[in-house]
This record gives sequence, C-alpha cells and structure tokens, in this order.
Amino acid sequence: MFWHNFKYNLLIILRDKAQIFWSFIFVIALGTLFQVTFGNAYSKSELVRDLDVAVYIEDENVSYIFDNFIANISISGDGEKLLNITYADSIDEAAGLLDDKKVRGVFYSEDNELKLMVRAAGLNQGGMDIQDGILASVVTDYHQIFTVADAINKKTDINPLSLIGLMSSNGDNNTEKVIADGKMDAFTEYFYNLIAMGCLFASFTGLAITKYSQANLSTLGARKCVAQTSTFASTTAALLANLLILYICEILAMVYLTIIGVDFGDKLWQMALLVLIGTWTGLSMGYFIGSISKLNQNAKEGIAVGVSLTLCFLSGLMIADMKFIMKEKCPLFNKLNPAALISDTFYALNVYQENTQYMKNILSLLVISVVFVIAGTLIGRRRTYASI
Amino acid sequence: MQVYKTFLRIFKKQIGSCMIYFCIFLGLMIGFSKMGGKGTDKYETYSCKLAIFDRDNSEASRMLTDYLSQIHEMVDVPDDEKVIQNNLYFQELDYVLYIENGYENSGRLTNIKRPGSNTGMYVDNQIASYESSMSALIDAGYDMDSAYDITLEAMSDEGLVKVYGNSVEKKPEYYYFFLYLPYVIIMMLFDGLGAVLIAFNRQNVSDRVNVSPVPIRKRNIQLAAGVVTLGVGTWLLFMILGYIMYGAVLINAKTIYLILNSLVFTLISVGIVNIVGSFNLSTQNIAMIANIVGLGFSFLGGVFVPMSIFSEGLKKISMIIPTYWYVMANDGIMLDENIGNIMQYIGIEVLFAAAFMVISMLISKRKKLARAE
Repeated sequence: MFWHNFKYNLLIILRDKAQIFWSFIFVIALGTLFQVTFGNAYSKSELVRDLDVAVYIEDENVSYIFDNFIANISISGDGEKLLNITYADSIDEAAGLLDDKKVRGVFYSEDNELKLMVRAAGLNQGGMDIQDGILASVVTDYHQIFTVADAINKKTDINPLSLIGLMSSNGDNNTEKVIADGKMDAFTEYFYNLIAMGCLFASFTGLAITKYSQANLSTLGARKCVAQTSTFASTTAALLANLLILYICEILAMVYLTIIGVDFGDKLWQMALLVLIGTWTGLSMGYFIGSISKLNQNAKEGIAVGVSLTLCFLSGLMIADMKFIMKEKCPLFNKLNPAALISDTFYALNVYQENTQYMKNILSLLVISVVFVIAGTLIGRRRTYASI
Repeated sequence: MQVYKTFLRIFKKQIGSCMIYFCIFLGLMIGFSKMGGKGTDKYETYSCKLAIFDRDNSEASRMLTDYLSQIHEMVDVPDDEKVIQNNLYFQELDYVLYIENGYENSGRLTNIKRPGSNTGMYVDNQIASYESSMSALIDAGYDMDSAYDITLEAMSDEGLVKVYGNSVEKKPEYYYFFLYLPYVIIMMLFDGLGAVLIAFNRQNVSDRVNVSPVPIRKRNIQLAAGVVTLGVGTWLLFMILGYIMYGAVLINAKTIYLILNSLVFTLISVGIVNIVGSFNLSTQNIAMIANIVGLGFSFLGGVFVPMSIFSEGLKKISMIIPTYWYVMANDGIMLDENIGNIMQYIGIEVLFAAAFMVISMLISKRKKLARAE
C-alpha cells in the first residue's frame, strides 16, 4: 500500500504546476536575474585593474617625471596593467571625460605638483571607493618620492631621480598567507539564499499533504480518514514522494545556475546532501504549519508564504547585509532560521577546509525538521469529527 | 455604493497577508536606520577595515601600527583563522597584518586578505611605500622618530586630490525608506488589490454583476474609486509610517519631491496590478507574478543592489523598468541634481503609469468585446 500511495503522490505533485513553478521555474528565473544583475559585481568592484584615467599635465617638468614614474607603477604587483591612460588636450576635456564617466580620475598638474581629480561619490556607493583610493595612492607615491628626496638631500648627495627605483619597493618582506581555497565573492550569498528559498518553498507541498490527509480540509482527506490504510503509511508515502520530486527540481535548478556561470564549488556530494536535507526541512515546516490550526487552507498558504519569505529575507535573500545585521543583533535567530542555516552551510562548504561547521548545520537542520514532523504528527493524529 | 463596499469587504480579508510585507518593510527600515554611508564632496583617504597583530612589540612595529591606524579603520577580531575568514568574506574586514617577531631587524610581515582584491593591493602598496621611505631615510642618517615624521608628511594626500561634482554629506536615514518603498508597494498592492480584482474579474462573478441592475458606468466608477482608495491608501499608510519614524525631518524641500516620486510610483504599481488583475488568474498565479515582478523590478531597477555594480549593457536594459527611473529620481533629489532632470525622471514614470493604465483598459475592453461575441 505504501508504494501505491507513493506512486499516486508522485503523479499529484508532477501535475501541480504551482509547486513546480515555485521550486523550479521561480528559482531559475530569479537565479538568472541575479546572475545578470551582479554575476560579475565582485570582479568589477574588487578585482578590477586597468583603471581608465585621463592625464593632462601642463607643467613640462612634472610631465617628464610623471611619465617615468608611471612606467614604473603602471603594472601592479600581480603583473596586471594598473592604469589605462588617455592623454587629454586640455583640463576641460579631461574633466569632461570624468563627467561622462569615461574615466575614473584625472591626473593634472597644479603649482608644479601632480594632482588627482575624482568624481564625487554616488549616493548608493557609500563614499569614495577603493578605485579612487588606488588612484590617490599613485599621486601620494609620486609626492612621497619628492618629499623623501628633499629630506635625503639635506643629509647626503644622492640624486633624487635615482630614488624612483629605490622607492618602488615591491614589498617582498610582506608575505601573503592564504587561509582558504574557497571563493571570496560575497555576492554568491544571494545564490545560496536562492537555493535556501527553493528548499523552504517545499513547505507549500507540505501544506498540501495535510490538506489531503485531514477530513475537515478536503474530500480526499475525508475519504482517506475512513480508508483502511494507516495515516502513518499514507503520510510517509506523501512526504517521501514530494521530497523526491522537489529535490530533483532543486538539483536541476542548481545545474542550470551552474551552466549560466554560478560557482557553487566542487563539493558535489556534500551539496547534494545539503539540498536534500534543506528540502526536507521546508517540507516538514509546511507539514507542521498545515497541522497546527484549524484555519482554512488559504490562510495557511498565506502563513507558509509569509514565513518562508520572511526567513529568506532575514537570511539575506533581498539584501545581503541582513544576515550580518541579524548575526550582530540576534545571533541565536540565525542558528534557528533554516534559510540562514542552509546558506551558511553552502558558505562553510566553499570556504572552510574542514567539515565541522557543515556537519553542525546539517545536524541543526535535521533536528528542526524532526521537531516539525513530530509536532505536526502529534497535533494531527487521532482527530475525530462529529460532522464535516 | 454596493460595488465599492464589496470591493473594500474583499480587501479586508487580505489585510493579514498584506501586513506580512508591511512588517518586512518595517524590519528593513529598523535594520537600515543605523546605516548611513559616507558621501562627501571633500576627498578623504580611502579607508579599509584592518586588523593588526603585533607579535614584535618594538618601536618600529608600534610606528607601523600607528601609521596604518591613522588611515584605516581598526577592527577588533580574535586571532582565529575561521573568524578572520568569515569577516573577510562578509567584507567586515579587508586586511589582516601580522607584524612578526623580529620585525625591527628583519622587516618580516605576514598578511591575510581576499586573494587578488583591490583593497589588498591598496594596503600592500601603502605598507611597501612606508617601508621603503622609512628605510631610505634611516639609511640617509635620520633617527627613527624623524624618519617617521617625514614619512607621515610624505605619504599624506592632503590637498592632492580634488572631488569633481556634487555629493551629499551623509545619506539620511529616510533615503533607505524611499529606496526600498517600491518593492513593498508592489508586493502589497499585488496582494491586496490583486486579490480584489481577481474576485471581480472571475467569469461567473463578472457575468453576474453585468446582468445586475447596477449600470456598467456606475459599476466602473465604483471599481475605479476602490482601486484609487487602495492605491492612495497604501501610499498614505507609508507616508504616515515615515512621519512616525523620522518626524519633521521628513518635511523639507527635498522630501516633497521624494514624496511626489513615491506617489507616481504607486500609480505605476496600481497600473501593473490592474493589468495582471484583468486576467482570470488564481491567487497562486498572482503570487507568482507578484514575486517575479516585485523582485525583478527591485534587483534590475537598482533598489536592492546599487546600479554602480551594473554593466553598461545592463543599465541600458534597466531603463525599460520603472524602478530604474524611480531610483534615478531619488538619487537625483538627494544629490541636488538639476530640478529639470528630476522632473524628467518623474515624467518618464508618469508615462509608464499612463501606459499601464491604458493597457489595462484595453485588455478589459477587448475581453468584454470577446465575451459579447
């Protein structure tokens, strides 16, 4: 009887277009949107080299020394080109390039000194950004050479120009220690949260399972209540059949996202287990919501949507900073929020070299889901109806 | 007023789920109220988030620490790789410097940073410049204190960088209020107004109303009054919330335009919901469309993520999304942009609203004609 129920539950969910939409279509639609919007944001904001700058230096001396200087620093320490220079014919032309956002900054001369002009910070950018900082450090380095050279001239007879080579120390004594092989792209958090959302949306089918097993919610539920098959067998079959299909949906969505360029890492088996347990947690949450009260189905659906979306929102689905805010203001909440646990587990998999955090989070998700299933079953069992 | 009253009665049933979005918005505002980014028309040296572990504790190491702490924000983190890793990932920390034992003689340093990052390169470069300047001056015969003073002066960027264009002193808290408003308004209107429109457009209900003694014109006027009540009511609710949260600060010459901008965006949302609501859809289908539209508009329009990270191509695509113009107008108002530009952005939004209204009217007219045939 279990397999009979299992088979029909498979058919039911496969024909449930809404659920397939939430668990598959919605995830891939939103994932595509995320990839288009900020797929390259990390490399654009954090890794970009080859900064576009305009140069207009009227002073011949400054111009000569600047050209020598720029030849020295135009390649950054990692061997990539640092600056992409456009020479302007006037300061107005250079400022025009800056205004049109064609260049990040303008190097110009004033009072025999090299100076830099950058654009005012945009509102959504939070002050000067790192690229402004890098350009400013070019001017500072230039200025530093002459200040130090002046000071040295007071003590010795070293030719200041020979200092240009001396001053461009490459920082060999500052060794980089790499503590993890994983990615450092914080924007990937959005994709982790997206998968977490897909998992929690499994709660909608969890709700449907209670609808079709409770006599006061559907005629099918009433029919099942008087049938000989035990509620345990039919509910287990329904939960497992739903889990199987939703799990396949989530995995397919992840495959799609990987194809369009999202990097979830290479720990495939651990991720597969995480998505399975995440989906199970979502399903059991829906099962619990469906069992808790005698509200009508629409109200319960509203609660499931609201709870899932709120948990995802607090885990950083809409605004990535939210998770950090929650970590600071209410750390316990993140440890109980299934969406935050799922996205944190993805993070732990990709960043930490050992699996302790992964195992801890998986265990937390399992405990949460077991609590949901047991509570849902205890509330929903042995219900009798005088009339329906 | 029968239709109008029924309209509001159906909406009453939806209030609970609308409140979910209202609470999300409240949470957002409280979370973001303490965050105010720095925008300035005066250049300030770019500051990274740095942690320094001084294992040498010598005069030279203290000088290096002192120099870096003058430029950067020092973050207090334990010397634990996992904690450092987390902080680097979430950009709560950009660079960790270990001043190794014996630094005064060997100059040995170790750093942890996001591999290949600009912030890492920036701090690396500052340390290298500091080191080379200090060693050149000491080699020339200066003592450490004098060398340090000259290095500080040499590495100062004071007066070397000029800022071009307008900026604001600090993003006021209400900036976030108006920034995130489109998402909540779209979602709440889909949830509340969408549900009512679906109820009225359900085939049998609509047929029943059509054969009732209420004239069609009267029915349409009452329906339109209902739509306006809900749209303007939702907008008013947020304006009152804004006033409660920010008080009199919210009433100034700038915010009048922000308020106008949000009202126009509410009309756009009403237009979109009207179009979707003209079809005979289930509540679930409406929820699907609401999420795609709400999140899609918010991400692509620059509400949830700044447009500065968009590629040029994506920015062009975003122009067909009304939230893009909403955010442009908002930013323009905050940055004291030319009033003509701001009105142009708001004008484009008005065109969007008008287009959506016309489309929704055309759809319902076509549907009526199709049914008559």
